[in-house]
Amino acid sequence: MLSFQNIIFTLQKYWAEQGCCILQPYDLEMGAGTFHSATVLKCLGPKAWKVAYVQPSRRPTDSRYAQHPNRLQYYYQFQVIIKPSIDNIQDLYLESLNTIGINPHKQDIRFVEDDWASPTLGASGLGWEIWCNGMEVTQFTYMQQIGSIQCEPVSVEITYGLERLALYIQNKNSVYDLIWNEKSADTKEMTYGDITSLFEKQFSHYNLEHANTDLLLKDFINAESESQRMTELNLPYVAYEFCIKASHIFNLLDARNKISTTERENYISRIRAITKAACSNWIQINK
Amino acid sequence: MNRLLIEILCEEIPARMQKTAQEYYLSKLKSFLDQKKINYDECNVFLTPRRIVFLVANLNKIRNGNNSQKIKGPKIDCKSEHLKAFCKNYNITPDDLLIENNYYYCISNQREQTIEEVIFHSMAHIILKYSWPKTMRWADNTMHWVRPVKNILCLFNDKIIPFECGHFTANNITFAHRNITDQAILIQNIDQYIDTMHSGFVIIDQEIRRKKILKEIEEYAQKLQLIPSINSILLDEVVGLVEYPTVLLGKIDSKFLSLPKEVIITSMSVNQKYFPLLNSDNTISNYFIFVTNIVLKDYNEVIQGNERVLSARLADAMHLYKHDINVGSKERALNLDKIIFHSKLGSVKDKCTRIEAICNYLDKNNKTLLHAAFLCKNDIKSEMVKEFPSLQGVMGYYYALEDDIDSEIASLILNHYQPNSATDNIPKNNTAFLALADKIDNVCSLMIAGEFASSSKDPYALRRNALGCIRIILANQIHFNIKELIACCFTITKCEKKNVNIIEVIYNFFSERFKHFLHKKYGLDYHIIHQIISSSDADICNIDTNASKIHNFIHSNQFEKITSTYKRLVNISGTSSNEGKIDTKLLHNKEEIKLYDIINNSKLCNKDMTLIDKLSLLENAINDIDDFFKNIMINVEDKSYANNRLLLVQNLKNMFSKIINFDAIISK
Repeated sequence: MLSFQNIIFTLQKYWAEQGCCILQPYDLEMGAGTFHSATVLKCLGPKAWKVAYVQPSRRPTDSRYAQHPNRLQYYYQFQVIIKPSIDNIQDLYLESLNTIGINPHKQDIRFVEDDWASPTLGASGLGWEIWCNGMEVTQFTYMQQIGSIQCEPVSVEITYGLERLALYIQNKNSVYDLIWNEKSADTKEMTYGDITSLFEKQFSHYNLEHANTDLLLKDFINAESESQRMTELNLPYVAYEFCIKASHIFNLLDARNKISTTERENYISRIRAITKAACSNWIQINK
Repeated sequence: MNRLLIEILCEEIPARMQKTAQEYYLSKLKSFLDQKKINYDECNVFLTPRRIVFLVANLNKIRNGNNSQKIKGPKIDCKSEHLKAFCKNYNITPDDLLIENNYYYCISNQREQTIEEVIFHSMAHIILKYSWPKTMRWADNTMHWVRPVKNILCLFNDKIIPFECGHFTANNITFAHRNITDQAILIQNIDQYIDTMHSGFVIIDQEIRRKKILKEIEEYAQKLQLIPSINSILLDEVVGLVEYPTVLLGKIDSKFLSLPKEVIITSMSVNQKYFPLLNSDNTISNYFIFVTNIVLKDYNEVIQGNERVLSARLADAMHLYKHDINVGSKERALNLDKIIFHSKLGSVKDKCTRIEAICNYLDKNNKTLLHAAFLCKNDIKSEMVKEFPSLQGVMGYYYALEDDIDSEIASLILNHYQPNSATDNIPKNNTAFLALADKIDNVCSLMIAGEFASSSKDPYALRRNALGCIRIILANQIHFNIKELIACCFTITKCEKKNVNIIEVIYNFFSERFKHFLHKKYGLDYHIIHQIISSSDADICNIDTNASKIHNFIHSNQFEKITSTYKRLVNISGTSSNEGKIDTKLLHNKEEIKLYDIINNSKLCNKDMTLIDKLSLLENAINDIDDFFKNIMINVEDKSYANNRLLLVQNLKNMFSKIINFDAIISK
């Protein structure tokens, strides 16, 4: 029965053996592993690319003050990108589950239709959510377009929900009870809660009560204009980084209920516009 | 006996798309075989989530006794290079050409294709022609398909037909159920394929999978003396998620059974694709049914896993439900003025105030109705409705009961969103008023705020709301002037820069929806419907009644006579539309005078007469018109008389067509 950190080590080792470069997380707040430039930018254009990385992901609207057993505003995704997609990717994925203790010949693993789309990224793909005995544990997507640009060739993206998997593997009901590390004679066993509860609580207060929305509104406008300026200077990596910032600021404003239903569309299309510009610029300078 | 087997193996096909695809391929395959003159005994198309299988038994090509075909070429007046190309294509000289009906023909002695050749040349096209609701590309292939294709198999008896499809060449490889083995299996003949599927735990026939599921569900139900609740759409979906179904039984912790039934069922079916088992009194039992794809000796772990997932979901729901009850309806009601309904229309509380006013218009001083209107949106920002939006109204019902609100009012809250679909119940009595008030406020207030339904976008579902209003009004025969109600809505809606012209726009919007509705209901032409509406008051029930009468009249025998009389008038009138004045001095015969009177009388009858009455007028005139045609000759020598009589006929014709658009009816 693997600890949380061992699940990560095992997955990294497995995908490294499949030829993936193991990258490190992007050092910015983002909603999902997909937002990492290793996915958004590198999935565009013709060059082959095989990577895997952990990405801490933030969803301010899911703040629950560490009171909810499986909903958090900060959690970990494990992201795999294989470009171009390969024929036996489903088998490789199932084998990866085996390495962390979920035997696909003993558990009911299903590929249930779920097409993914991100309006802010102008991205969409077709694929499935993977169910393990009824519980969703992974998102499996063939990326068709990013930044409103067709992906050629098509990449396959596998996003593991690490906490979900760990809950299943360790047979726990609350994430805070997950065992994070390996206990030994001189190592104390640490739970997920030991490491993250206080962080969760403090950020829940910030996200839902204290975030300065006037500042955030200004930050959004600044991120938007800097992104445009960087695109004009032909620095798409930098331009895209401001898109990531804009997206997280939007999520924070949303968590503080500062965005009405009519304004939401507007913000989303603004982020989509700067993302599209950065992606187009990326394609251009990579020709 | 010849058999054909084709298997397209791919990654999991979305369950919701399988049935349509199966029906499409079955019909296309059959018509293809017919077109190529290939007889067969049985033709089947099977679908599992991972494969599409074509299986045809006892194929036989109908031999054309005469192997030669007559092939049509260019027209005889074509350019010489076209004729040369035609001759070259079929390897003939100009001497071999035949001429028939201004076209060149040649006799081509082509060898007839064998079944294998037919399959080889045509199958790829048949497979690829289907447009899936959504397709994708993968890797750097150009092929588009619903999901990545892994392999294509094609056997004619024991021979591979290696047709090319996308970047694939058909072969004799297949794979069994994923959980059994992931080794490729070579297939020598079709019997072996059937055996392999059988021993490999793949039930290719979706009907057999479905029957197996239903049978096993029934067995569990019988054993436990419970009643399974099987939603057929969910069942179809579940059939499409398995290659080998096994039905399993799970348990629900009884602490969750105090949750409202709809909450448990929504959690179970919508999110988890489980089937509830009900007690004989229709309440939820503590057992549920689910279908697994894996083949095992011991299913304990699978059952436990599924039970845990459901438990987590229900625990979530429980938490939200308790939170909502704690907050209480009063608190939620107070907060309704902080929830924006629309940026230009104020809060949800403002909306409730409008709904109350409209309810009062529809049924004055109905205290129960007004109370329900006040409470009907109380569940909007509840945690439960945020999590399960489809339970809006349902949660309102339960929360009202929790607050000791009268059960009649609670039921009004529950049902006031009806009708939710074309097949949903249409509410009656008080519920009808509340449902109508809510929907009509949706249309009016949103249009006043500047929202519209275009032909491609209707994000506020204005069309559906308007149609719902019409259906409720008619089912309950609620009489009122809709223009007045719209004007009332305009008055009570607080909105910046509202323009009184919008009333007409909203009325026209309802009118358009109503026209479509009447057209669908009675099959009446739109011109006629337009006439009916413009000649009626703005009472939907009255308009519908008129339309019904007109519809019946138009299909009656009397109307047949009227239309044939009209046709006669048209024929004789000719094309000259002469609206000249009839000279009364030239009218001598009683038949002519009678017709003149009829024309004059109709000019007197004005818009106050209903369409039905005007049509009766025409009916009464027929005999006189018949007499006229019988006894009076129009084309007499004296041109002034002839002309005058022609004018009579033309005026009559115009009178007819002013009353109702006959041309529209005749052209049907």
